[in-house]
Amino acid sequence: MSAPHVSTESTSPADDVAEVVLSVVAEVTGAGPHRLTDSFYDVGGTSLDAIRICLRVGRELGVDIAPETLLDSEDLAGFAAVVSAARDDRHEQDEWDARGSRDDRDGAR
Amino acid sequence: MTGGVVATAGGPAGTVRAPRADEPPTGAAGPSLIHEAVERHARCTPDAVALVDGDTRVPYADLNAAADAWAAELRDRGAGPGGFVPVLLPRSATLVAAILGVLKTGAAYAALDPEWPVERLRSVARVLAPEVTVADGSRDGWEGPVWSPPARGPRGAAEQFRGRPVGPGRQVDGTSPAAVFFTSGTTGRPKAVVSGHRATVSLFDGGFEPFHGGPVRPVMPQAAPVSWDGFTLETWGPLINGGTSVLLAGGYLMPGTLRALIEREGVNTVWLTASLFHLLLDEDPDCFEGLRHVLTGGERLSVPRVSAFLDRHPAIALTNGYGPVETCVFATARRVRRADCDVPSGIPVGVPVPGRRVHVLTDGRPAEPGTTGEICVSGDGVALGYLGDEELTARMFPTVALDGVPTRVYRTGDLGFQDTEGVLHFAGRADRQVKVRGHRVEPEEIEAVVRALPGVADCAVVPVAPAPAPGPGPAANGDNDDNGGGGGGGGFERLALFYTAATEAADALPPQAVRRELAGRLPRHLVPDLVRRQADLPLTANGKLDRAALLRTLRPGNGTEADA
Repeated sequence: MSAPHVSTESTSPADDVAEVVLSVVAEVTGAGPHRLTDSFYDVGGTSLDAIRICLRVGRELGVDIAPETLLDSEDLAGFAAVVSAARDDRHEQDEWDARGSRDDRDGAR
Repeated sequence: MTGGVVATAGGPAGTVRAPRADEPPTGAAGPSLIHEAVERHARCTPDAVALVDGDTRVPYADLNAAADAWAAELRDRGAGPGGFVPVLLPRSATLVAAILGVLKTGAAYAALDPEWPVERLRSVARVLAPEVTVADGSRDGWEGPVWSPPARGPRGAAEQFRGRPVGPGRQVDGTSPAAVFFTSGTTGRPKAVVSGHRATVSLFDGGFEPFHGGPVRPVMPQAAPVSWDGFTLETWGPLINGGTSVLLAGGYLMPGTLRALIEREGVNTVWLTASLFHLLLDEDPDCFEGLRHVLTGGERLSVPRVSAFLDRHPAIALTNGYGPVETCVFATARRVRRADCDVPSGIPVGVPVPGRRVHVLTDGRPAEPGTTGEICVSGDGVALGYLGDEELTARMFPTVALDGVPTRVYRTGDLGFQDTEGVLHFAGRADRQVKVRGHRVEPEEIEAVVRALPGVADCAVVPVAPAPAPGPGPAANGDNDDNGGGGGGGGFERLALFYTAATEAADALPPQAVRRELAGRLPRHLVPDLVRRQADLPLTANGKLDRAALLRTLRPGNGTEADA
């Protein structure tokens, strides 16, 4: 049931997140394809589905996502945006930590 | 109440379980009130951690001092014996201290979810007729006085008030109301279940295995909705036993959080509804590592998953609990063992927990072992009744003669049988009540709310079972029209609403609009997951609603109408 494999080189990081979201939602609900404009309720999702989706998306992208994020999103695009922001935050944090460990905090950029 | 009556030997086998040697006699010395049971630990281990709330650790001394101080405030505002105090606070140390304060006034608490739709909160408040409500700041549209706990929480209150004398107590006893739980009713209004102090204390101070003695105190996450008896389990369970309740920030216990809590806070015991237990096992089977005890239940357990859990975690005790909220947390429990996976009727729900007795009745008489009847429960655990509904209380809590002894029982509406060893096995529902993802749901309640929406002609709410697992798994048993209320499967996964509109205009009352209306009137777990408009509701040959036909329309490829 995996989504057709699109080369990710030409797409932005946010598009990657959206692709992961759509493929995981399809995998968990056993239906699809869904559109980013679908709300989680349009696809018949339950709170347990939300937990599974957030776990799997989180695992794939290396972030922690609370199920409320999905349950409270207007649509899947909104959810993907929050996930994307969380991933960027984490990357920033990782970079910061890496910089901190090299002990050259003042030499940013 | 005639608590402590034990069946005479020689009664029909299986009617009443023989008293177990480890069961303490009812009325034995010991606290009979929830707050007394907690106060003990404030005296004996004042510095032990009672609550963890984010980075805040609240020791027993502070929790108790804050509750004393806040009880004085509430008493000044009219809270006292015989009263019911709604508490509308998010899960927090402040919430627990406020509830304890309510109990110390002699009143009963009703912990309400501040996220509930305003209309539901209002209807609940009318039933409670409170003198005072505990809430954060002012609540829009809330009638009557509101008291807000200081923003600094229990630690601040404790510093300010420590040593302030406690007002007169002792106006209440173990049979006095302690808590009100709201559960799905069939009339479109939730039922207010009034539970006495002894229902909680008899279980957690009575030798129930997961909480029983030993040098290790229970440390449990509190993740269940605060309005349910899951909160009783996760909060009073540890606090009555000198343990720690770890209050979760969000509404869902994720496996990563569980791991972190085991590691950081020493969480050793956890409660998970069967659906969540199954989910965690599927997604992250090692997240239980480090626990001593996993309690699950509320729905039929999946045998392959239980079997996998036992293989993977031989050192963790797994308990299957059963009990409607009217029996406060659990009526029976079973320490699950490997042989249970071979029982044809599924993992047994076990034997009565302390303070409860179980009777399987057919036509008001005890059934023979192996014979299926209605599961009825008696004893300290049984609720005092439904607030504001004497007629329903009389119907659901009748006094029946058991072995010649008049005994007040709660009729669960669940079907089951006891085996020759007195172990209870669950066998489905006698009515339409179902469990959906672990939540108790009366489809009639939702239907009543839908029918009241302007423009709706008729409707049916139908629970949907999980799709059969791909590959090897439990065989689907025919169509999804099993009316045994989840008795044939593993509970239900979602709720589908089918409705007809009063006008035939194609664009009248779209499913999205209906769903939005319902989200404003019902708590989230009662809002149907799938909403479909139908031209007609199909009937069977004998004129009954054809639920199987409705469910067939949900199958992939049959979606002719837009889902909401």
